Amino acid sequence: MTFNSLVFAAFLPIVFCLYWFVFGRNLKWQNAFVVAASYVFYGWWDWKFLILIAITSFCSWGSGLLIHKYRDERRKARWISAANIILNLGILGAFKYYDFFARSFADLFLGGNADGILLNLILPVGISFYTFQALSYSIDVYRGKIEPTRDIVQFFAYVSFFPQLVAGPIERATNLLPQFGRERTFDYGQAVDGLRQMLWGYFKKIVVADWCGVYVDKVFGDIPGHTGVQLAAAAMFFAFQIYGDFSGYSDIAIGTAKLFGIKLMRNFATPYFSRDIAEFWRRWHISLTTWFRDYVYIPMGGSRRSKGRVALNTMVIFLVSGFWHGANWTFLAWGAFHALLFLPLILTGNNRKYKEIVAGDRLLPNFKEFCQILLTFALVTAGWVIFRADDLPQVWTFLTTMLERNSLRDLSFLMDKAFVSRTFWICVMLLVEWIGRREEHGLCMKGVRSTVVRYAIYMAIILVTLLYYDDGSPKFIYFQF
Amino acid sequence: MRRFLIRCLVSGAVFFLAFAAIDFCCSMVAERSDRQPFNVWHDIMGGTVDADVVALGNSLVTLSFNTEYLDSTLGVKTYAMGFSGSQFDRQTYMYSLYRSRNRPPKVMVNFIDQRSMSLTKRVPDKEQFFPWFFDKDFRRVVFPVEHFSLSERFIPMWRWREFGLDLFISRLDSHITKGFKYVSYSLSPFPEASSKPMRFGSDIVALTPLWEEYLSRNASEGIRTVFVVPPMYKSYYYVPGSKELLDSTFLALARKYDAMFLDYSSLPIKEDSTFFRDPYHLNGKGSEVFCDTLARDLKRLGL
Repeated sequence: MTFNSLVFAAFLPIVFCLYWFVFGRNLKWQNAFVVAASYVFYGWWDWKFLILIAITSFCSWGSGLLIHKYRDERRKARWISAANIILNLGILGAFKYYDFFARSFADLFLGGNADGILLNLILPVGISFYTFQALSYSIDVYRGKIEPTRDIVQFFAYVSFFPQLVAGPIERATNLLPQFGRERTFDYGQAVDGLRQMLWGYFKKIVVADWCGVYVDKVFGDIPGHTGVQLAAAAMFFAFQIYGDFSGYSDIAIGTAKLFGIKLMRNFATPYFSRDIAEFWRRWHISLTTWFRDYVYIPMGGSRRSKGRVALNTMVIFLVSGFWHGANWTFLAWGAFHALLFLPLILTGNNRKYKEIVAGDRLLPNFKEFCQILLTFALVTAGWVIFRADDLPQVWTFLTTMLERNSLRDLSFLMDKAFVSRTFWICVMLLVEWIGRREEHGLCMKGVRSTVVRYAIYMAIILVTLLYYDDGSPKFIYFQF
Repeated sequence: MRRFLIRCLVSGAVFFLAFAAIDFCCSMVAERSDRQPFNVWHDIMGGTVDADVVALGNSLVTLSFNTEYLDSTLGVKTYAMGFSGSQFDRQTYMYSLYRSRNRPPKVMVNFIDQRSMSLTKRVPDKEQFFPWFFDKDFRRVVFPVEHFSLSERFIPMWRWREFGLDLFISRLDSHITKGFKYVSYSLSPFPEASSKPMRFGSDIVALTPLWEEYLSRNASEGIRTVFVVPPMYKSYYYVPGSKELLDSTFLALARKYDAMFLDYSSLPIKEDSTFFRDPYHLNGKGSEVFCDTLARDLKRLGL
């Protein structure tokens, strides 16, 4: 079940009413209902996926208890923790990465003939997300950051909570698990804000991402048939497509969770207003970035080592992050590309230069900030070309075609109505996000006092979203990860 | 919680009413539009089809039946009643609505080809129906065939999704004269063959009773019927045997109901792509050559 389906439009109000009115008086029943609803949500794709998530949840829950039991015998606890990590990563590896390695092995040693060694397993949606979420729990228990929960239902609710199950934010047990351990009370302001955030997420997904995606798919499907300017436009549109798609999903997820009295972590903080790559990575897919920081980068020594080791750690973290996105050389290349952009900043100690949002309380950024934003966006967009391409040769074709066929003669496509409308909606999104850049999401509407104006804005957004809605609307890009 | 639910309900009601009003306005604007894809329905539903010779068919009619040219050549009023992507079963309900609201024609020209004899489940450009969702006659005739979902019928603006802005901004075409659309270009590069071989065969058997009903109605009301097989570009894909089946079926029907059968499939222009927009449709230049021949034949037959 996807957020942009009609089934979800029926599912959400039913679950909402049952959650508060039928199961609201008993915490255990409420958590059990969350698990049931989440399993229906996830099983809508394929009920067989439920077996995997149940195994992951049960093993992580059990290992948490065992680690705690043997907390005074570190060796045993370490083995249990390692076993749980290996099991979870093993499942992830088998489903997501095995065929990639088998194919690469066949290319190197079997003359490209991979028949007989491929598993051809269907990749369960969101497996990387819930696996990482489950892992964070057992690691945190091992580190003594949290107490394990004995309540299996509470833990299952933590792993499978449907709003963030398939594409994050990748929650930490320290934040989400305790919320399932205490009684939830309905908060009017939070629920209304949740609806606003959902609306804004739908706008970004349907009006910006899907609409840009039509052009991007067309161009990437026939790179030699397009001019350099068209390719550059496609790269730019993809930058907004992936942002609209993924941050839109996160907004819908966080907004939905608010309806159930659950506060999820922020996943995007206007990343395209960043002044350098380091700031971009503090604002893009925050839940994954901080996950890698806390569970991979810092254990490796982080930035408190020699410069050579810091460079190595940085390279490793970006490569792993790229590989997390999928079993393809393009993702590794994308990770390496960002590592190369990031290294100069971290090695010169400039990686934490911009911690606050750009322009502060000012209406507009100054010229220097504006140029920095543009440059960062251009670099990130170049990276998205690698990310979007089917394989590395396609990246090469894209870049060479863009440079070779860079005639400015054929600019008529810029006046194409579809092109203009895409650009217009991107500008609307950027404007709204700029205005709300200090808030949790673009549509907080804190400065809008008039009810009439607020409702007019809601209505306009709903109307435009409705008009761009397509029944066969593509799924969210990050589902494949 | 109570406050939240009440606010949700009130907001929902406000949005519903507002969208219903917007929906109504969109329908009004589209209903009054004399542009594609609304123009033909606009004329039919408004009762303004004032023609002696009316051509009925799919997009072939819209692009080939050059009404301006025929009006001046024949000296009578003509109208191109093209129903994009339609098959004959759908053309009959368009015809039924046309007849119920407009003066009768003297001659009906039916364009015959394999596509309009292949039944499909869905008509493209279904937005053409939207402005008349509230018209009783229209609902009675169209809804049983087109199968709009409940949400499309009852949720305001829902049916305009996908089409909405695009429809009002990009797709409106003003070069329409009494149902005819003059296309001045050939596709470049010109497609050499139709990429979609279509289903054909048993469907023509299913449609024959409808033809019989249509022809007998025309005959009883003194309306002459002319079957026209328009020219296609030489590379156009015919399902094997379809041309022969079409010819034999419609020659038999023509004999039975005293209709005429004019076959232009071998006009010399079929060799030259500059007369075509694509292998299936003529362009403006092609329509003039075709209508010149058609007008001469109609005159010769005493029409």
